[in-house]
Amino acid sequence: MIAARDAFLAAIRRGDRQAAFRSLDDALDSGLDLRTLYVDIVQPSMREIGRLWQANELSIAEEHLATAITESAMSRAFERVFVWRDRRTPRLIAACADDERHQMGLRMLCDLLEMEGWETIYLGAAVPVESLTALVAARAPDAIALSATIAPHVPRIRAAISAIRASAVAHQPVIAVGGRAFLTDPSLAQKVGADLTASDAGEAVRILTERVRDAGASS
Amino acid sequence: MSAAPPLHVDLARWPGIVLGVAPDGDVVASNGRLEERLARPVVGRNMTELLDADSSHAKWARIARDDDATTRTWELVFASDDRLLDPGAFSLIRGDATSAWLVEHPPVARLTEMAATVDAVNAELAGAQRRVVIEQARLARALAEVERSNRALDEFAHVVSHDLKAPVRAIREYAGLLLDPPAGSTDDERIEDIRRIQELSVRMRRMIDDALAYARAGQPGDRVETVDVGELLREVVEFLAPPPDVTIQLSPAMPSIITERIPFEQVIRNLIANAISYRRADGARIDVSAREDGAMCELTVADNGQGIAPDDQSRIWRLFHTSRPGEGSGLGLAMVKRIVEGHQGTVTVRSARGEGSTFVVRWPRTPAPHPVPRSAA
Repeated sequence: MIAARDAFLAAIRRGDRQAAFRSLDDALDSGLDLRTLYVDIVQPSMREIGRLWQANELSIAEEHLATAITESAMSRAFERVFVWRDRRTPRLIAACADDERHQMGLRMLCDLLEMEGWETIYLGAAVPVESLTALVAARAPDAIALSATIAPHVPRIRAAISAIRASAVAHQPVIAVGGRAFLTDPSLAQKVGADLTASDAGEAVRILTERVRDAGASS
Repeated sequence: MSAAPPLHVDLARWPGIVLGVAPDGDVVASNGRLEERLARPVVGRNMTELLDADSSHAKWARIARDDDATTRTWELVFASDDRLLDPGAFSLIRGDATSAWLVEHPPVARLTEMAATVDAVNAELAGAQRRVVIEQARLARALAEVERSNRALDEFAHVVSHDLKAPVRAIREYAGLLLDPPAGSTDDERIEDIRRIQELSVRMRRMIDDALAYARAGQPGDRVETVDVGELLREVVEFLAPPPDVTIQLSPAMPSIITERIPFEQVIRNLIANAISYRRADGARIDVSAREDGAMCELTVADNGQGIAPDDQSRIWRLFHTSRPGEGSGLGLAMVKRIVEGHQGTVTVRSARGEGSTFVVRWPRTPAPHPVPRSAA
């Protein structure tokens, strides 16, 4: 797996789409599951890309390219492993406070939850609070995941959470927050009014599944 | 040819950020661009207060330290409490020993805009691809289900037409005898023929009812509930009221599942009833257990009964198949298979003549209803 990670990182670092696709294909062929692929190959590779930018080894343009390639590679991997399940519950709505480039964590979370049989609705980046609350009212999700990579975007999440709490009276969803802003300071999650945070998509899947099951059992 | 003018730049009019920075990182001069973008004064502040910590502090430390900092481009992010600027590319121009200029390469607005558009398009494509993948997988499953039910329908039509023909033929023959009685036949014989016709009609009626029940059995309904498998088994055993020569042993610690209770109960009841029916002359011991196995609940019904010959093992699931004509209707196991497969489960049997049979049902622990919406079915 370390070899797979090195191959993937090297490919996205030099902007080689085909090699990136191939390294994930090889990893799947060798029997790794999507969760391992995301949590142990893609995520550390993207963190390393971020670190390389911080170390001035990569430019923003190269980082954009690496992100875009990773995004496609994830879609391809998901396509290879996804199997339909007839009943798709529980339901999650995901939204990202940052721009498109930072939505990868939420994509991972949605893909992994889909694999577990959830229905996920991904709203994308910088969603206005009114659109979010309207959708929450209409679709009554069991859980909501919000992410902020950049600390200055955290207030947007706080605003979104209080709007959801105020509007979703009948059925309060479990609200999870994630992204680097919360990784640096996990206590921030409670400060913005969220129910939980997690250090990676794999952990988020586990905690969300538990919490939603508990919420279902107590209601 | 005149000499070139001496190089100098009016940095105040430069479109990008220009900062004069002292060796300790204090900003000593600015052309005003950073003030505009951050909406706060910057002269007199330290670079570490103006740069985004996560992305740029480590870089700034290197710029201050590296001798070759002037030969490279540095991408930095400036931030204030409520603002985070897009990354900008900067060059460092050293002046005298006490200061340096940090000069932003003016971004090409059109390129920045295009990059943002590419990001947005890419994100939309990724989202669309997910939706296509999910829809494709749903359709593949629905298609497999339609194919399965088409095959089942063919099989069903074949079995029903074949098996119903026999009593119809017999009725026709008895009716023929009544219309054209053989010489010397008595009234008693004719009454006997009429009685046979009546019996055959009753049997056909029952077969048609069974066929209808069978046809309906595969369709999952909507109401699901938490079912304690152990409790359900105890109820089923009580309902079946096994004769005294039958011992039914339920294993301890059985799981709970979320499912439609009625079809699940019917599967269990038919399997246990089947084990009771086909017991040996000296009685029966039936072991029933259930356990969780991934997404499935695995239910095992093992008996020490007559067992099933290898040739018969594929036939037992057929509607109207029975190894004891006249006793069973041949509906029980066909029904089990039909219900189990209709609920995305499987049922298998392991058996040898004289050594009992073990039926294993794998039933989803959480519901998996029909993939084709009822309105479309």
